[in-house]
Amino acid sequence: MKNVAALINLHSSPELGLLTEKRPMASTTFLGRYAFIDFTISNLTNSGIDDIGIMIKDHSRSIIKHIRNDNTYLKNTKTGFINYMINETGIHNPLYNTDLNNIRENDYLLYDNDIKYVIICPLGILMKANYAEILEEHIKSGKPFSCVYSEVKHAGRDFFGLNKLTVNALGNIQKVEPIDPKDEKVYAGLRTYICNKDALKDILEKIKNISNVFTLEDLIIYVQRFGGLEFHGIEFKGMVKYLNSLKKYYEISMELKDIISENKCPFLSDDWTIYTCTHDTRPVLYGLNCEVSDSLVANGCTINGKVKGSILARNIVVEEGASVEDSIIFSDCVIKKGVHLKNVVADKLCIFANKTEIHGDKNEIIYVPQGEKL
Amino acid sequence: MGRSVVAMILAGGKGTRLHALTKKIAKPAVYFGGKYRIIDFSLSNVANSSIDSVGVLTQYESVVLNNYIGNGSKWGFDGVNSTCVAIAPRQTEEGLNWYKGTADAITQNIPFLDDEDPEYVLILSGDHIYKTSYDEMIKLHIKSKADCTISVLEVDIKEASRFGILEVDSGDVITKFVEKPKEPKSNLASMGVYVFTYKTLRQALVEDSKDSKSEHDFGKNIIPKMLAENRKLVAYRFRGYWRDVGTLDSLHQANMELLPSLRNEDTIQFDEFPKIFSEDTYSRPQYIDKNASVKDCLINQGAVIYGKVVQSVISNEVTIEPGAVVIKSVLMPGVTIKSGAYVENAILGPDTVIKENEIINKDTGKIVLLDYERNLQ
Repeated sequence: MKNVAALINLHSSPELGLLTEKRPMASTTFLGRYAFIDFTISNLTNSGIDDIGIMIKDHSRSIIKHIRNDNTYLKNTKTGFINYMINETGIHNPLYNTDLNNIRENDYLLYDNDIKYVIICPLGILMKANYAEILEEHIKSGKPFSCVYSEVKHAGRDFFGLNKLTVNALGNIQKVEPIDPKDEKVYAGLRTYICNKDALKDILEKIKNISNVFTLEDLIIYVQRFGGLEFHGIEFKGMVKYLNSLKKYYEISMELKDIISENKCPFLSDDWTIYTCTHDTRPVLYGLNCEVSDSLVANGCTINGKVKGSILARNIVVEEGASVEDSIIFSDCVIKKGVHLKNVVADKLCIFANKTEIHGDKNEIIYVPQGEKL
Repeated sequence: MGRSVVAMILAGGKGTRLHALTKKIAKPAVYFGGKYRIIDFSLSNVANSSIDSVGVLTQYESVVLNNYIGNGSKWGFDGVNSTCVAIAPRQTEEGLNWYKGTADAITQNIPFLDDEDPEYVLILSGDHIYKTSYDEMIKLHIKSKADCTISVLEVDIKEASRFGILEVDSGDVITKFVEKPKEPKSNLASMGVYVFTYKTLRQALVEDSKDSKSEHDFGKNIIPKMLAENRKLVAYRFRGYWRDVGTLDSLHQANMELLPSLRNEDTIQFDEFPKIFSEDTYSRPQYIDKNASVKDCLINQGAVIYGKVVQSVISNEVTIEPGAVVIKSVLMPGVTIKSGAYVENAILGPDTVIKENEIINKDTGKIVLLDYERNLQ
């Protein structure tokens, strides 16, 4: 689509505890061979949108390394591009390192006469979002701003951290407020916004006089309460998953593993390819005495031991006499003979030796940091 | 400025002994090892030798192969000043000319070589399975001031009559070349890998093109003619794993040699340099079901295994349904083995579907090929 630019907002991406201590969620491994940002970019490119800005808050190296080339994701690298947006003035002053200041700092698209619409996409909210359809509904509404929401159950448990919306009969947003831990069925805002570019430019100019530390979410709440601006609500009816902690990361990974096995995962369906940085690793070698069941395994692994109910990323070695159960293992780990891992999330490059036994619990996952040698 | 070395890969072969596998694609494009195509080995070897200009000469059913080669990015040939181009026979002022032999394929592409202006030309076949860097061979060629260096493999003397055999002196200078001799006097078999000094090669090719009796073949014409002219031809002894996968049996065997049970220090080592590059599909990670059993296998991403798989090579997007059994087989991309089916000692071409409870090749001890049209060979 020629008149649309998309911004992927990493400023509002959730933290996953120790998992995102040294890297952003965007480049964190997910389901064995992906990073979270792959899902957002693939939603855009599968929707025909290839003018993409990534609003980076911090840890830019990790993201740039993962994205590597535009041609990993884009169908045409001349007509489309991926632009890294870094708020350089905000780097040394975290208070000002906000998404709105990032757009101001990287305001190229606001002056691009070809662009009429801007889509701001979230990270950490998994959904098979067809942005072409969402944009069409936004244009039909005639409103300058639209917000995507979804009706969710167990809002307080599964979507805490997002806003809940009140939507009137005309489909416009009447009220925006944070989800309460006790909330059950609500309309959850999915941090996905579609704006007419000129309206976005105007509001950024106006808000500058009110606060320089407003985030996009602050802005939405502010203009709702005081600005008199009407937001159109666009309902998303597919599956939505929100990851906001290490525990949720583990639970949702395992839940998706199960539905992937039944080919029922909408984020990884045959008609919706998830593009990712490829490493050209060899197929998986399964030894003569290995026992593998109910597991997702990425290329490059060598398995001679027992793997059950787990997700293994690239280049993992499970030696004979070792076992991995109900665990998520990141790339380049070695699990030596006599080691038993259960309910563990092991970060990259860990070596488990000396008959190590690490047993967590479904509700108390044990995280092993990157590069640990146990 | 000219290049030091340009590689020319002969990839026009029909591969008739692979039957249905090469009905619609050239032999170098045939799948191998769950993830690769045969030509990945030659192109990766060239890339790992720091050669950044390569022409791939295609002819028979070239569409799939040309498309696969693309701009060479799969092997890293899309970098600065790098060239990777698939060159099929083309119409010229003189008319349409098919490549009439291995030498003619190069002769018809002298304009490409002239443009690249190399000092040396590496000529190799695109349908062999081996890992190497050609650095040593090229160094030997330069050091020995040879006009041509031929890579040779020491084969069992009983097998030698199947190959082009070289006789050499004590310094490995070639004294005689005989194509498939009835009574071989040497066990040095030509691997069809040559390094030529371009000036000499160009002259030999131009002269050969004017010879109406020539078959325009390196083994039959160019090499014997250079020997007759007392040119210096040197043998380079290749040591390592090398397989010709020209028949169903040899293709099956080479696939089996990738498995843990048949793997040893002489077989292909994936994780060591030089690395074999290939197309990395955007498939999901493979899924092994809770009731599945997988032993002694090589399985690519995108496969979904619910049944039992033993000693087999499984490609991307293969589905093996519950209750199905696959033994000692090679399954190419997109194959589906329906519930309750049994497959043994088989090569299943891309997108083949084995029906529910169907039994393929049980206890015959022979290798069979089944393609998507279900032509059994």
